[in-house]
Amino acid sequence: MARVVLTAALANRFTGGETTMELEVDSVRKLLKALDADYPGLSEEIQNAQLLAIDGEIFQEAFLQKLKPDAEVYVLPKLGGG
Amino acid sequence: MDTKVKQSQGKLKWVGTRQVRPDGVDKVTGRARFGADYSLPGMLVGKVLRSPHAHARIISIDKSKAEALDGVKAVVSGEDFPDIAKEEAFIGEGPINFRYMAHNMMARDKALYDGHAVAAVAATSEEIAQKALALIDVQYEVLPHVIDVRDAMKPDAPILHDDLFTEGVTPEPTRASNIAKQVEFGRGDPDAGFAKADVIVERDYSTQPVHQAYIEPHATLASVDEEGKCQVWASSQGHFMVRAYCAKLLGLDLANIKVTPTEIGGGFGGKTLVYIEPVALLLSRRCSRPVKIVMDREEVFRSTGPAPGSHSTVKIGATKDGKIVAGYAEMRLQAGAYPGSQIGPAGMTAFAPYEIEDVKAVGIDVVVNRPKVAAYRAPGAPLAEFPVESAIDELADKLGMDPIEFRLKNAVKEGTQSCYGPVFQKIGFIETLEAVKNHDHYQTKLGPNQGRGVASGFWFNIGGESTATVNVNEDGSVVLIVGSPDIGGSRASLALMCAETLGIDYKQVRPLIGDTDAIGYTFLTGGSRVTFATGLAAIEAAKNCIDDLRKRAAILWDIDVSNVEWRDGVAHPVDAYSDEHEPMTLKQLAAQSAKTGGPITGHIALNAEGAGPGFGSHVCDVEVDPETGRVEILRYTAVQDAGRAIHPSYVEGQIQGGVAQGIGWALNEEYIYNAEGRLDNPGFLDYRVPVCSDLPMIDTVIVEVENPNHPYGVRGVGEVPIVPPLAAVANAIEAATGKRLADLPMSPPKVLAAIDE
Repeated sequence: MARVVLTAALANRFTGGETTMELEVDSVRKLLKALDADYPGLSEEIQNAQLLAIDGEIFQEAFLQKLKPDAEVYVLPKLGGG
Repeated sequence: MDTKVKQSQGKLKWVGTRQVRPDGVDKVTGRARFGADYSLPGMLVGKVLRSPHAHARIISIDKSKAEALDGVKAVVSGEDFPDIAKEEAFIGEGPINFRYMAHNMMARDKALYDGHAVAAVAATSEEIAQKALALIDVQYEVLPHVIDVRDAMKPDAPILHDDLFTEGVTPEPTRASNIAKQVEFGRGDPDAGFAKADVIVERDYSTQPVHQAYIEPHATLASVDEEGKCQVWASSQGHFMVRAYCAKLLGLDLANIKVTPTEIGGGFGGKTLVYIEPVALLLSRRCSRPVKIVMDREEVFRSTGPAPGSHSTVKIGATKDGKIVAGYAEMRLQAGAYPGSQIGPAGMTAFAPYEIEDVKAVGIDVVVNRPKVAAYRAPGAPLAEFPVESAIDELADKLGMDPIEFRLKNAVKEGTQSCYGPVFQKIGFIETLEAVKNHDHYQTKLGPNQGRGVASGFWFNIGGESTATVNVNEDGSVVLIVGSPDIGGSRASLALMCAETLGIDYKQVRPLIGDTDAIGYTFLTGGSRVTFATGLAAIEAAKNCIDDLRKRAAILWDIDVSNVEWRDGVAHPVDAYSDEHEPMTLKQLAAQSAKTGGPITGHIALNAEGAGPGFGSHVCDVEVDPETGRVEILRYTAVQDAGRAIHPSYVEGQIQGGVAQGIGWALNEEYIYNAEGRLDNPGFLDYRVPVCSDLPMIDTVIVEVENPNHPYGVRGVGEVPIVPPLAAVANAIEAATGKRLADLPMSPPKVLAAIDE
């Protein structure tokens, strides 16, 4: 099961405050689809304005990534820089 | 200066050497062409009229007198630009709301800060353009304004946007306010953590908005032809970003816009947005002549984005044995006139260097009547890490611990869960602390009124989209084309990696920055991404070129390509064929390229992931004049993990530049707004950035803990060095005076007042 952790702001907006969820998915594509089924709009928000940190590595664009069975995925605001 | 290689890496010929930068001679002889240096036949001068009011409703704008002036070719105001709907996107340095960006570029119904653009003209001379600006009649209804973030959060504060409702709070507000958004990061239960603490430090801190103080003001030249094809020359950190924003803000087809990057005289995050480019394009379209707009320094200060100011409350608790058990930060950031300060990065970076089980960081985005903020090196991090690094120092003092030992006891390392969530992979924070501890500087004796401070800093670093092409000329020299504007010597570092990969002389590689029609999409230069991400592209393009070179040798030798190896810039047949064929150099293969299929090239477009996080630790010695409160920086040593310094001189330059800017943030820099909300110090005489005579030689130590996600181990370096100086200087002043200053800048009057308390 992949463990997905949202920021509080995202959780308040899309999941009724639930910040952590476990999903039976093996790729980011499937993760996004699963999230969207349960929380409409969350997948689009993640793809537009968020990044994923998968097992500690930050991906600005994680769409093509595979997930290990016990993957830990943090959803964080996209980063830029100066 | 000292480079410490912590990790054994293969022997490299060019990477890690200090070569002359390809653009150096042009820059020191004045031949380099910056934004203002471009001109076209028939070119007009564009000028922008700016609001003198901090907050005013625009009742009317009468352009008729200006339009009637001889020599004036076009006059535009907000009504001439398309109405843009609220839409968030991530094209530049952070999330952008196009409606806000459009209104910031040219005010519509309200002017929201002193300097806000309200109209623009194109005329045949600067004098006529200036006269035309004076003839534009703008009727304002002046409204109450608010400059300070705390005042802006009060229930009775003047409201900037009637349709702004705080995001990220429950219940959803029903009343508009200046608080745009709230975010929070963390884990565990801070209250439970503080209950375990033996010592707690809690304090309010404030930082002022500071400008990036790039030497070159914004400048652009735009030309729209009869068919609607647009050309823009602009000094920016990303010409693809300029193209995208111009298309969006003017409702143009992106394919009709070509943007050519000029040399850039500094950006530091401040040139990741557009201000004048769409204005010049619209003026040019109106009069079918090229239009150049060059900001003066006053315009830069009054209308372009500084880093946000902040007011923060930070609380940290530790046990007697020096273990941090809880942290809490609430940071209220000034976004300027439109939402969008860097509350996300601020919240994530605040406690990032430390392992804390129970921690929470809250970021609050607040609009005020100032220019909309922009990125500035490690956006959000300096103002978030300043209070934490100050509190860490205070805690170490209360516990009787050496500040480096205290940090070492709590430092994150590979495998530690960060305060914002993910587990850190390979990082070099501890190595930077050890390097400070072991540096001669840390043992140097101090005299009366002198003090020493240390502080650390963190930034994520990013990758992103980059394109690179390697073209082999017929003489065997190489042209490397990338899409990343060069702000800090990246042409040199990219050429070094390309030469290293190809196995040829660095001087045989000529790096160029292609315009938006000449090279594939490349994300802007920012976030310390170019040496990592565009470097990766340069390496991969070179590898593809090597594949092509091997094929050419195979054709000439009439053997399978699998029997050709590339070593040190030379194609070698494998052993089985070594008696039949002599190795061929790149030059020899290039000379015969027509025979083997035409020009030799390598190309790549990629989205680089795996940028290794950056950490730095600094030590600063100051002397405080007890009579005047003036702070002199006596010694400064900055240690940073660069992963691998491709060109050590430019890594050192990035570190030194960041430190100088951080010292300015700490000691001197601030915007002075008068009672009417007008900026009183829009120039370098009154907005005091450090100059060479203010600073000692800033010593640097490069620690190299390689990033496993890059062939040469690169980590970005440009962001981190601005983070530690704010607290390093504050901690040094505290050590010298016994007074904790928590309100930046620590200018002489404030220091003196603290001493005299």
